[in-house]
Amino acid sequence: MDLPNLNQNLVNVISLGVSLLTFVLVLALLYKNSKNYSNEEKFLAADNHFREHLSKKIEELAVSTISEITSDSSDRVEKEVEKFIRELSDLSSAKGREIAAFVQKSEQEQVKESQFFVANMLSKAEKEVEEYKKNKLGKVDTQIREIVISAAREVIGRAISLSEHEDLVNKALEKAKKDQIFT
Amino acid sequence: MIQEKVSRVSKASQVSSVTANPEIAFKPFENSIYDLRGYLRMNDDLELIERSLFRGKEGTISFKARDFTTSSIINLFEDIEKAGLEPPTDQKQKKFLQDLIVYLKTLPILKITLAFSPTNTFLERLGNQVSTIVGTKTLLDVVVDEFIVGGAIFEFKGKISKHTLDEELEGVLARSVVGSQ
Repeated sequence: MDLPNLNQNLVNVISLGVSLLTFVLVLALLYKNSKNYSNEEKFLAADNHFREHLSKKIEELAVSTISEITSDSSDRVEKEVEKFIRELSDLSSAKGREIAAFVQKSEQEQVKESQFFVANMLSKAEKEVEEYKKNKLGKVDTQIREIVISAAREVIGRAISLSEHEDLVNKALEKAKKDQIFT
Repeated sequence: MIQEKVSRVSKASQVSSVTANPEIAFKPFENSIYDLRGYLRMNDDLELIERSLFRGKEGTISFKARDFTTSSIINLFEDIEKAGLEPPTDQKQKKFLQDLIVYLKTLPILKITLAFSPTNTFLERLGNQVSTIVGTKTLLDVVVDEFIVGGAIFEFKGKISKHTLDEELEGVLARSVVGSQ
């Protein structure tokens, strides 16, 4: 047997040994861990049991406490609600009376205002009618006067002779002299 | 009235120194017109004569003017020539004409509104009456307005005197309307 082969075999044996040793160590560790795990499981089971028990107790206590509280509160709330409804009823009846009085007062004021408004309107309308009548009569007067004057102009103008015109001018000249327009 | 005449004479003397008595020389001219229409016609004639008179001619104004006007104004010049009131020389004649135009322009005017178209005779008579009242020759500015019906409206130096039948009619009607109310 040559030397390199010998070394090779030696290395192989050593590595096999190391492998075996490692395997044994692993097994040992696994065993130890499996032991620890079963203890922990037991502890967890007990803990769960305790927790469930505690929850039940808390729940029972909470239910009884809440029922006591709610029972008290419901009585108090009922009373409060009754009181509130009573106050509300009183308030609403008082407000109703107030509103009724206000409505009555408003109605009276509206009636008064309406009467005043109607009276004003009537007075204004009477004035307008009077004014209108006056204007119309004035216009009619003016028109009649214009017609009469126009007719008179026509008739008198035709009726006056030349000598009468001259005579009228002479008389007008005398009056103008008296008016002193030439001084 | 006398004072006014004296002042007019002195005014005319200032206007013309060529005529001894311009007031008398101008008289026939002012007497021949009585209304604004007549005055304007005469003014046109005088200005025409004054413009065309002195073109190498000698003699009286009526002689010189006869060639270019047939107006009756020539007769008036003849009248003053006969009375010896016209200046003899060309220059003085020209000045005389200019003074006459200015003198006639200063005559007062009475505006009169009538309801009818007056005859010339009536206007002349009216003009004379007015001139007598005013105290100096006064021209009539005649306006015809049939709406005054009758009578007249006089306007003189800003003053107005209205005496018309139209006005009287208005008065009568106003009284009758008031009386009926």
